[in-house]
Parts: sequence; C-alpha cells; structure tokens
Amino acid sequence: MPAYRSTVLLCAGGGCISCGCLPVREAMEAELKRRNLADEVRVVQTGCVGSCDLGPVLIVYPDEVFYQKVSPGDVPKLVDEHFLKGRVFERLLVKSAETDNLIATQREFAFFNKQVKIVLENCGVIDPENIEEYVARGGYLALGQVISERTPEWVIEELKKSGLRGRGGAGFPAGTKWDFVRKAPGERKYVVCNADEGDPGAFMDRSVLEGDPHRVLEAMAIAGFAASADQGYIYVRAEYPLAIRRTRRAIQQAREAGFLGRNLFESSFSFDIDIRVGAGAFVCGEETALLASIEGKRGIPRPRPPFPAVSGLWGKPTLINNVETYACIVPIITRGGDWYASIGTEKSKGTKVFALAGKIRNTGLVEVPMGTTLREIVYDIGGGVPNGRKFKAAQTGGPSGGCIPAEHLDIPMDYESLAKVGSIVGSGGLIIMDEDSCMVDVAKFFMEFCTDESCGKCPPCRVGTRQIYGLLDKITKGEARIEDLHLLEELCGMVKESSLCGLGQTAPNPVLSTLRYFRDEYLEHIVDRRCPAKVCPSLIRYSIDEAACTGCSLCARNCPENTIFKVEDQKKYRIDPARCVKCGVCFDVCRFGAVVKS
Amino acid sequence: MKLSELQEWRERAARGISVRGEQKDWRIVVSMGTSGIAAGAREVMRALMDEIERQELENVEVALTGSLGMDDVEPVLRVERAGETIVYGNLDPDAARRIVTEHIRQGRKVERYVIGLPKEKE
Amino acid sequence: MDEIALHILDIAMNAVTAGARRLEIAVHEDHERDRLEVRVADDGKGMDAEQLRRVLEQFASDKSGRRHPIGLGLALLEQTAEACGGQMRVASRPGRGTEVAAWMRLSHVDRPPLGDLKDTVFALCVGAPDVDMALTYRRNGWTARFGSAAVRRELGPGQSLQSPVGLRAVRRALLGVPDS
Repeated sequence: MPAYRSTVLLCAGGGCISCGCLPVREAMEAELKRRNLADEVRVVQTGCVGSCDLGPVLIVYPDEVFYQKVSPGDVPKLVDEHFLKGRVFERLLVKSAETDNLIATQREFAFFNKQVKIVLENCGVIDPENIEEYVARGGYLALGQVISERTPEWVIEELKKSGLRGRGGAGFPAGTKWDFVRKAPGERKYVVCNADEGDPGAFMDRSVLEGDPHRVLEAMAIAGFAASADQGYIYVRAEYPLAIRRTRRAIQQAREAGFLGRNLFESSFSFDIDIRVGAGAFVCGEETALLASIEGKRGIPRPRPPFPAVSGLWGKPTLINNVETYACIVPIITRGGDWYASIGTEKSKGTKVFALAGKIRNTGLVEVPMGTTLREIVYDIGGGVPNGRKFKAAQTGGPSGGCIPAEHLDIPMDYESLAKVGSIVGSGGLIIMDEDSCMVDVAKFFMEFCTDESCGKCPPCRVGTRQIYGLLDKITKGEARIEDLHLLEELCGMVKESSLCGLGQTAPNPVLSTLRYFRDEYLEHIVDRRCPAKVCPSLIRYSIDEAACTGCSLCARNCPENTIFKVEDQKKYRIDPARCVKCGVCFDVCRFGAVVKS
Repeated sequence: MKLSELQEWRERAARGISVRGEQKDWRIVVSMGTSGIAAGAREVMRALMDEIERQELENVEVALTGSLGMDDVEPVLRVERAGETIVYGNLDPDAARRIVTEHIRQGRKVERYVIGLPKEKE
Repeated sequence: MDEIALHILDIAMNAVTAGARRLEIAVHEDHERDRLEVRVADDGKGMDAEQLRRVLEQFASDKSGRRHPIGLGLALLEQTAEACGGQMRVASRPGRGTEVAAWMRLSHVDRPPLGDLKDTVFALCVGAPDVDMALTYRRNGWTARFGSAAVRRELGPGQSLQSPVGLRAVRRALLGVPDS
C-alpha cells in the first residue's frame, strides 16, 4: 500500500448517505485527480461518525480537521484551500455552541472530545467494506488468541469479570448468560445476534453494522467458541439495507480470509454466520419472537421459561445478545475484564451508546461511560437546547422507557439510577424535549406506536394499549373527565402486570412516568381544557394581535381554509375561530409575530 | 489461517493505514528527576505527547531520564537528531507544543528556550 | 510536590533509573480506615543497607553517578507521609529491587490531593516503554487496573506505545484511572 500524505474520511453512515455524501465523494475523487493529488490523498468511506445533523461530514487526517455540511460544489474550493494551500477551509467548519468560535479539529469539538469510544472506536475511522482495515486495527486477533491459547471457561470468566450487561434493554449480565448456554445440555447450539433495532430514534446497532461489521462477526465467533456452537445468525430488519449489504460483504470476506468456516485457526473449532432478514416488526426484537421469526414462523413471543439459553432456536440452547453487546466483546477479551470493569459505575460497567435526538443542538450517536450524568450529555456533548428554550425532560428507552424531568438532570445514566426515577437505559434512545413539548402528546405518540406494533397474541397488550391510546386521545382533545385519569392509571397497571412479553409489559411506561412527573399537565388538559405547551390542536386557538398586525395579508393568502378575513375599513386581519382547523400556517408565516397561539 | 499468519498480515496492513512521515530520526529526552517533576516536567511530557499525537508524527521517539543536572532551569528536555543535540529549559506545556511544531516539524529551533548543552560534571 | 501522583512519578523514575524491567504501583484509598496507601515496587538494581540509610537522610543522595541522583524524592515522600500522620518504609536488596511503601491519613488537612495519576502512568509507560508497568488503584471496593504489557500485546509487534495508535491505546487502557 502506498504511503499517503493525507487521508480523507468520508462518513457514509445512513444519515450522511441520505443527505448526499456519495456525490461529495465522487466530486472529491475527481477533484483530487484533476489536481494530481490522487496519489497523495486517499479518500476512505467510513461508517457513522455520530454527528448526523451535520452531514455530509469529512474528517481530514492527520490534522483531524472536521468539515460539516459539505456539498459537491464546495469540494474544488476545499481541495484548493486544504490540500494545495495547506489552510483550513473555514467556511465549512463547525461553530462552537458557547463561544461562536470556529472549531477546526475533531478533538476540539465538545461533541467528540467528551465521548469515550469503545463500541464505536472503529466507526468513522475504518472502511467497513475492507477487512484489511479491520485487521490493521488488530481485528480477529482476539478470536485467534482465544481459539489457540484459551479455553471457553477463560472467556466466560473474563466476561464475568468485566461486568458487561446486555445492551438490548434488560441489562442481564452477559457472562452469566454465556455460561448458561455453555452448561446447557445439548449437542447442537446456536449463537444469535439481535439486530432488530426497533425503538424509534435508536440507531446504534445499525451504525455498528454499517461502520464496523467485522467486530460483531468476531464477537459472535468468540461466543460460538465459548458456548460450543458452530452456527450463528444475525437477525436484521429489512429497513436496514446498507447494514445488511455491508454485513453480508463482511461475512464473505471473513470466510475468504478463514475467520469463519471450518477449522478456524487450524483448530477443531468451526463456526459460520448467516443473515436472516426480518420484516421490521417491533415485536421481533423480543427474543422469543425473534427466534420464531428466524425459524420461519410468525414472529410472536411465547412465555418464558424455558429461556432461549435452554431451549431456543429449533429447541436447542441458544445464546442471544444484541449488536452493541457483541461490540463490547473484543475489547474485553483483548484488554481484559478488569479493564472494562474499571469504566462506569459500581453496577453498570463500561460505556453506553445513546442516540441523541429531539430539541438539542448536536444530535447523533454518543458513547459515554455508564454513570455520565444526563446534564453532561445534554449540555457538554449535545450543546444544550437550542433557540434559548429550556430543557423540560428527556425520554430514555423509547416506547418502553420513561421520561426524566429537569429536576433529575444530574442523574447518572446507568441501569440502577434510571430505574430509580422510573425509566430505563433500554437500547439507548435519548430524546430531549423543551418547553414546547407536550408530555401528554409524547405519551400518546409512544402509545400509538405500541398499539401499531402489538402482535395481538395476548389481549392485555392488544386491547389494553388501544384503550390507553383512546384515553390519551380524549385527554388531548379536551374531552376527558377526571375519572378518566384514574381509569388510565388502572389500565396501565393491568397491561403492565398481565402482558405476555416485554412489549406489553413496558408499553405503559411512558404514560406512567409522564403521569409521575407531569401530572399537572394532564390535569390542565382535563380540568382547564388547555395544553400548556400549546401543542394539542383541539386545545389551542390562533388569533391575531391587531396592534401588531400590519395588514400585509400574508396569513390570509396562506390559510388553506380561507378563514382569515380583513376587518372592514381597517388594515387588519382576523381569524374566524369557528372555521379554523389549527394547522398553524398563519403562525409560521407571520413576520411580525402578530399571530398568537393561546 | 494460523495465528502467526494473522499477526503478519496485521503488521502489513497497519503500515498501510498509518499516515507516515519520514524516517524515525528525532529523539526527545525529557528530564524527569525530582526537581523536574516538581517544576512541571510531567505536564510538559503530556503536552509533548499530545502534540505528537495530534500531528500524527511517527518519526519521533520520546524517552525519560533522571535528572540532567540542570535543576535551576527545569523542566528540561533534549532534542537529538543525527548527532546534533539541543537542550531546552524553563519549559511549560505551551513551549513543549512549540518545540514539536517549530523544531521537529518545521526544523527551526525555538530560540527562546534554548539553554545549550548540559555541562559534564564528571 | 503538590500531588501524590507526582511523588509516585518521582519514586517510579528512581526505579527506571535503577534499570527496572518491572514496576508495580499500587494506590489504595481506604476511606473506612482513613488511610491512603502507596506502594511502588521494582526489580531494579536495589540498594544495600548503607546506601539506603544515606538516601533517607534528607537531601543526601547517591552522588556516585552524578547525573542520576536518587533519594531526594524518597525523603520528600517520607516527609509528606509523616506530616500527614503516616509513615514510609523502604525495603531494598542489591540486585533484587526496591519496594517503597507509604501511608498517610486520608482526612489529614495537609494531605496533598491524589492528583493526576493517569498522567503519571502515561508519562512513565510512554517515556520508558520497555518497562513493564502495572498499576492497581483501589478505592473502597472498587478497583482499576492498568498494565503496559497488555497494551503492548494489543498493539502487536509493529506498533510502539509512542505511535499515535499506541498513545491512543494507552489512553484508552487508562480510562478507569483517576486523574484528579
């Protein structure tokens, strides 16, 4: 391989691809060729860098200069400035949230320098479609060493020492689970990777598969060695075509290199992996439903026990972990369980990847040690809430989780602390809400999701979630009475207690936790018939402040229902409240702040 | 594939992805005796390594030594290249970063901190 | 010395100068017993009883190799330990190595802060990459460990601890070690 003066890492995660990074790559390569720089500067397409709101993103090594929102048209100027004149091209740099200063390098950018990357250490750094780059970073050495020099017991011992807990949501100790499968009687055993990431807003598993697929393959092979299984399956949803393509390619390359297949590292151990593509039902992230789906049956859960560790795929002992859990395995094997256990908190070890979204300046994937406070994530890494608004709450754990109000901003983000305030780490979705978010509306959103995704097997979930949704809908329409609030609480308790699987058992969580912290907001909807955040359409009305109205007629021209009319003999406009559909267009278009929401 | 074959492959591949400069021909020796430490040699060392890492310089070797016997101008370090030795003293982290950028990268001595060669006391 | 971590760096540098191949550092913050314990052990050239007596006398050091005075650091640590209601012991045998153990009261008003232990270990294992450095840090029931040998193994034969990749690996391995 020739030595390059400089390397351009181009983020080709799903987010960046959808905002057009591939044309940027083409433009970059063409421009480098035109300037005779193609032998000096190499362009590498990587997995997700994490800062998805800034895409397309380029990082130029060795200086680690971070360019954001690059368009193909910017490329000639960028090449000219950076590679020919040796200057940073300032127009495409990120601005610091606090100081407005330009940030030149990735490590000056608080979004990156406060993170600790273990799971995502290769994402955004290597080319996921080239096994050579993974090998260069020590890839498959852990597998080789484990097979050649260690025993399965040693692997499980290290894993137990590490304190790693499953990252799929429940947080079950990984070492214990591996040990169960190892000790379960049976000739044939399986290793399964759950990549059926379904929580709205969570996309860490997709990013790992897109950005560093070999890391998951290597970990699954180690799991196969530890549990004496010879076949692995990755169950991934069809909505993740790029992850599927890159993982397939990785499997192919690993087979060719002899990291998957028969007699690995000249031992008697054989292991291979296949992909199973799911149709994207949320319930298939539940392990028993997932296993049914792999077997080719309808993806519905069944009661446990027996747990998959005893009777899983085709009734055989099956080790099932999610992508992020597997992504922690290789570092634990290479650097030792003690090292991993030294990161994080007493009971929650290691790091966790959160998908930061909502009302926050920097969105994207962030990896932090367990126990990092919510405040650090929101303000130091996320850059705070934009537009001068105030932080109201954060929703963790998606539709199975709960919200954390501002008074708990200093909560350490780990399994125990989140459980204490009625939420969960879950798969790591983290949605930030500001004063403009209505908590009843948020709860309704998640309940609608659960209603849609309920598989229908057990009545508490199938019927209960629909009833809960109906009540929330009544509340947001201002049609509910105070008794409905009690009924809502009772229903939530019933669904939680009696549902068959995790989907139903956790579905009421967003309602229960918003009720716990924002009960007043529910009461305002019910008693005062108003939505304090001014979100619920039935409870707000638009009007025009005649003192501020300049009579420009912009609102009237944009109103889809023609409900805005001119006041006779005056240059003022007025809204007919009886016919207003509350679409909010007038509010958005008015340049004088004369349209008032109340 | 054997484990040893993988290790060889890894070394070949690693050379491919690292962004390499010239030959490894610089050596920096930091004085890390009691007086150096008390005067801030550890922070100087840290700044030095951060800067080397930031600029991805692969042609610099850094070593520690006990006291160089120049306690009055600590923290002290020595930059060596092809038989030529420059000694810098009264350093702080900022000076260390400048030495990396100006001396190692651009080949200009940072005159302000040059204090000449250590006296041989034997 | 205004940090315990700087004392440790100083004692450890003595070990490096004494040609140690292995260096073990242990720090234990025992809040229950109100004790801060520091132990630095090496397999360097060691000292005989007479040398040991002399290095413990304040500001007297082994001047036989003028460029490598040893001892001032030991005297300083002893002073700090005793000022903070504790003490220091040194055991050494020529050709075998030296072990320095000091303890002090955690709550003592004069006790210097632990300081940046991470930077201390970083400086040592990057600056003296051939020495096998092991650190154990314990606070109450919690333990963080670092070993430079493991980092070197992870890096493989092609990369040194000082390469950019190596530095990153060292930093990563130091994650659990306190820095303030």
